[in-house]
Amino acid sequence: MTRRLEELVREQFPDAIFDSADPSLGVGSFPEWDSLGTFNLLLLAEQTYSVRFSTSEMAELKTVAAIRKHLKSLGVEA
Amino acid sequence: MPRNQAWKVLAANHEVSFAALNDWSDLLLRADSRLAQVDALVWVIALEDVVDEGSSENFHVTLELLVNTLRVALTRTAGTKFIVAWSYPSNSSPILYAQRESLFWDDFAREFETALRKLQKIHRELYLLPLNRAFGGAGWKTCLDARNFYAGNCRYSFRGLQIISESSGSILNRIEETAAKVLVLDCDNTLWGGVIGEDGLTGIVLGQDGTGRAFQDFQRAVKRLATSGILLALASKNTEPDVWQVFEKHSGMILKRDDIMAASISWDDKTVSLRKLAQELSLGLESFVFWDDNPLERELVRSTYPRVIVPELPHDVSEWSAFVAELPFFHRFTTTSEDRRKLEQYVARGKFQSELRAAVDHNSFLRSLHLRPRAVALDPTLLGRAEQLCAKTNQFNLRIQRYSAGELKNMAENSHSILFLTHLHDRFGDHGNVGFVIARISNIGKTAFLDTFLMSCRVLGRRLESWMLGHCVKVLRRRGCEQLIAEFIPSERNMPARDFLDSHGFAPMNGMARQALRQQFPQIKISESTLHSMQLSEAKIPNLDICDEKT
Repeated sequence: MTRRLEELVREQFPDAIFDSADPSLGVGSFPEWDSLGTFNLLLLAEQTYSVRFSTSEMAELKTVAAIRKHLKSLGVEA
Repeated sequence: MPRNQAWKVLAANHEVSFAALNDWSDLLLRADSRLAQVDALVWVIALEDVVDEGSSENFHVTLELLVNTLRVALTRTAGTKFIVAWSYPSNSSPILYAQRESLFWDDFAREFETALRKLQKIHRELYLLPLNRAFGGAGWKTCLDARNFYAGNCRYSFRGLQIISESSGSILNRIEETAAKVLVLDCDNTLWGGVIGEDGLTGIVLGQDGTGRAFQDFQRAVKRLATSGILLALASKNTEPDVWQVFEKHSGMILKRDDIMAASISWDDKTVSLRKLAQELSLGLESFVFWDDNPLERELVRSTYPRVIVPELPHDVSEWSAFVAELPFFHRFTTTSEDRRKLEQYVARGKFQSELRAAVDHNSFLRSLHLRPRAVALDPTLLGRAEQLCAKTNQFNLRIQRYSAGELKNMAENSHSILFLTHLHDRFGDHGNVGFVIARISNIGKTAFLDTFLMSCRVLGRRLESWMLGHCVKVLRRRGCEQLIAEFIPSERNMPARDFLDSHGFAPMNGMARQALRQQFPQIKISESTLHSMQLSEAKIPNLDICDEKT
């Protein structure tokens, strides 16, 4: 079964307190999710879903919603 | 790349924290740096980030800067381990290398490594991890990622980071734990294809072609491990003569019967066989690697003895020779002559034990060995061996005190301590320095305390311990001591030393003695075990007539 994107956020930021239902959940939602946090999360998503993001996509994908939408365009339901 | 999931492998056994990117000079050079508080530092350097390609001036300045920075940090910190991991750009165009001797990065990386290797000779806590080589197995290009550099200042791919994490973890694990000592092999479908009991000598697959050649190559790889000091053992569900017939008569066998140090060939469970082998070799199960083609046997061993290393084998035997050679459990940082001699020592020990079993009179047998022990003063070149004996000797060890080389050096310089190693030679060969004794002499009285009394398990059964005690008593008498106090602190594994004090003329002391002893030896941690004492003028030590060399 495909892992939900929220599970990956929890794995990458194990100590963070956040509302996984928040539609704007993304960079800046909690202190740990900074630009480095985004980078690490996207690398984890690449490993989990066997996809590859381009340099410009890495710069643009800053929220759970945006990542999910992009994954959907690649045929991955996360 | 701090907090990336690729560091999980390293973080599984270590608490990992990250310095800021490019903060290395501050971290390594500042006197109040937190470097001294960490057990190990992994410094990952992409050389193209620190030196401009093509600039010869920059080349030497940068090289010196990197190496000198490291030298300062190594000199300043005591005990912190340093792992330096570096990578450099490589170009795979055949044209570039066709006529030129070398390229800029090859030259720089070579000089960098040479300088680090020189530094390593002075600083033993420095470990090197050349990443271009470490990445080789996975494919160098799969370990780099230009996108990660532009998106996150990281030269490496997720796989590359994983390899850095795994490799650093392997180095740190080997610093903390000794390498495996024994490879236990199944026989049918492991050393040869087929089942000897069913297929017979001519029916098993072992030879020049196809799968038979793969089994031979696996045996060759195993034999190379044996040459480096790994002991080989068999655990096979078979009829014993069938197995030895293959070893002795099959022309395709690379391994010979003499290569096998111990064997359990029976219809017993493999777990029973492993226990027997551990007893026969006098080694703990954590020293064992178990190799069996049958996944059920592997799982049974894994679940029964979690301490035994059971690698998950590639399905195809053609991959086994490379796989066994790459298993990090067997790798040591250096292979000493002592390691290479291990096989010889175990062969000698096996012969000793079989002759001992056959002997009618124990004492006559021991006299026939021509035991020639001698005491060896603990000079600085022997501190390492004494430390190793303290760290590794578990069976014949009265108090199991794990002294470091530094602590032993301090004791050796103290006039109130007597320290000596015991070297042994006999008919079975030169056993090297196999015993170690520390006796502390009280500042105020004429009493000595037997702080450490240990002997390597490979010479057990020769009553060398009696000679060691006899020598210790002689030296103490010469120093004017009148009484020797000793204690046995029981552990899970030192039962072979349990009866030593009672059988060597020591008498139990009453409880009041402990308090007095603590006052006389405030620097020694005296346990709650029963204390024993011996009046040196009345010492009657048995077995001293067994050795050719008297005390």
